[in-house]
Amino acid sequence: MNTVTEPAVVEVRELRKDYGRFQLGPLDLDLPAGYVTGLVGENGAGKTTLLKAMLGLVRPDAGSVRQVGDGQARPGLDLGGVGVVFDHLVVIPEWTVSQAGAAVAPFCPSWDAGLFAELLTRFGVVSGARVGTLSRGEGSKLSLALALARRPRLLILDEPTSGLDPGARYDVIDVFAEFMAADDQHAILFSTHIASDLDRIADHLRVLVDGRLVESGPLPEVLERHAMVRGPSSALPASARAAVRGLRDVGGTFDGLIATQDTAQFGPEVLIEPASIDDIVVRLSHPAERSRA
Amino acid sequence: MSRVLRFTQLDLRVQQATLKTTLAVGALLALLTWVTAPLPPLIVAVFTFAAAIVAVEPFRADERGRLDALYAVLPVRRAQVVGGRYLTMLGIQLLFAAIGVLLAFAAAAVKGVPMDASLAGLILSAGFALNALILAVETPVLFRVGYARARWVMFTPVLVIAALGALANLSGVNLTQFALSLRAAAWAPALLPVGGLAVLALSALASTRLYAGRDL
Amino acid sequence: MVPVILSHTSGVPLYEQIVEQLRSAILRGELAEGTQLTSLRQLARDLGVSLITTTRAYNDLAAAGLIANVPGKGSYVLAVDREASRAEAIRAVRDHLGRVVTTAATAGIEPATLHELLDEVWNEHRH
Repeated sequence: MNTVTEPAVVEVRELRKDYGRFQLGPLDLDLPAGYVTGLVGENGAGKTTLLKAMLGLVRPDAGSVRQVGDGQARPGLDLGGVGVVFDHLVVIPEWTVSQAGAAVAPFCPSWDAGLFAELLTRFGVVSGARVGTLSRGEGSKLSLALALARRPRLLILDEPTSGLDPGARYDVIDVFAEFMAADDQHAILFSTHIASDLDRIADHLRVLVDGRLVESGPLPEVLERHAMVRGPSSALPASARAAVRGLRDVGGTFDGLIATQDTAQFGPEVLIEPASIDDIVVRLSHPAERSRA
Repeated sequence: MSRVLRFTQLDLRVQQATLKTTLAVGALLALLTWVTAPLPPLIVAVFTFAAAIVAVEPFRADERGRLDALYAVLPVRRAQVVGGRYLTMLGIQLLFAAIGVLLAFAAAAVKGVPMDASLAGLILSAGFALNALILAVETPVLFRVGYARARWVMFTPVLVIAALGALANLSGVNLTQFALSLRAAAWAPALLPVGGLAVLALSALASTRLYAGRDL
Repeated sequence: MVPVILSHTSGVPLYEQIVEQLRSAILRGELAEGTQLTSLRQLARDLGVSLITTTRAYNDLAAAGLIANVPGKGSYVLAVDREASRAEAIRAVRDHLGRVVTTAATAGIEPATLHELLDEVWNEHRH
């Protein structure tokens, strides 16, 4: 299977949104159908803005967002088939959990009340509880249950597991995997800081730095393209300095991120290791050299 | 059911959940007016005035529950949200009008005073028209910037009344005579509400455009 | 379908572990010819790995001639070409032996000691 050219379910082209001090884009992004795409980047990189622009909550200054399906591309997303989780609840605190479901249901022809109840039970959220009394984690789980019970084909999630303990995250990722196993045209786009979630389920990675997409591709390929280099400062040739992103040269040792193809620039005294997702995000977000004498 | 109506239904569900405050206010109002009103039709006036204030409650709920984001990801267009919201506001006004009228009749019966139904009718029509004017100004602002940033627009009722008063002074119209002539006019109870609805319709168009351009 | 046990700390890429375990099962006969393997997505879900990982594993197994990936239907175990597998295994063992011999020679270890070591290690691994 050629993992580079699989069809996209959502195509973002030349998207731009200007907020004065911060600008999102211009950027192109493809959301591959049938796969899970992780969106990473530091706080303030524009992940939430990007998701909002894709959903139509925010109107871009330029560019387009199109949904592709059945051989045609349509502007905007078909919200009837999309389940969304924000990083905050979008229900009033006075409602009970089941009232929240009842409020959303009339708008979604494919609402599955049985699935809603089943997910609540599985997540341990009491249907009679008032939304305002839910903990942060329970709130996230409720948002997820509301999104999934709509039986969407596409899930767009903003930090869906933040605030959840590892056990709860495990359950949530399992629910995502179930969603993906249910239909090979389902797709998920989720933003996160939690690398272990990505390890378990992400097929593709998109890295956002200062509003620009700096890395994009299948997760194993993105990881293979980078390496971490560490060694004594003496082993860092001046010619190779420019190749190191986020170089830290402190106390006689240095480390940084390099492109795998640049490993030849270093001699045997350095340690070359695979880069983690966190390494890639942090070093690409802060590429400038940080050194002390 | 059309999406617009579904949205009104959602709005009413939200209001239902936050009912307690509204009921408390309503009960207090009812008590106050019952005790103080010499003329039963004044009860209608009080409730009509209260309706203008309560009618914007859905926007407050939107702010508290961050519901605008919810509306944006449900399969309902922003124009339908606007339409549904205006219907909700009309519904709230009808509800308060009905309660006011019922209480006025009850008060008249209990206190043993006559109930001037035609005066009450006129108060309803004029009140509705006035409310329509107030809401027509407030609502587009609320849709554009949200409840928290639109607090200043809540002064609209005061401003509208002051403006009308100033207008009356400037044009030399004596308000009492105006009111009496209005009362005599047969067309008032029918045309005032129609005028009010027309103003609200124009306002809805403005709201649709403003809401469509809003970043959530 | 046999259970696949993955180590997340061994440093061996996950897809490689899947390939190795399924390959062994097929060569040992535990997965008979014609057996349908767990679907890519279901396996991804069961093992807690991404779809790309299971896809790569199945692609590698197909490239090695051990399974067939039929689009729209699933993946099936193919008949084991015993001679080809044995030949391939012998090639792999030769490679490993080459490295062993180099290491031993460098350290001055003689062939007799090597043979003893082979027997020791063989017995250890049989248990």
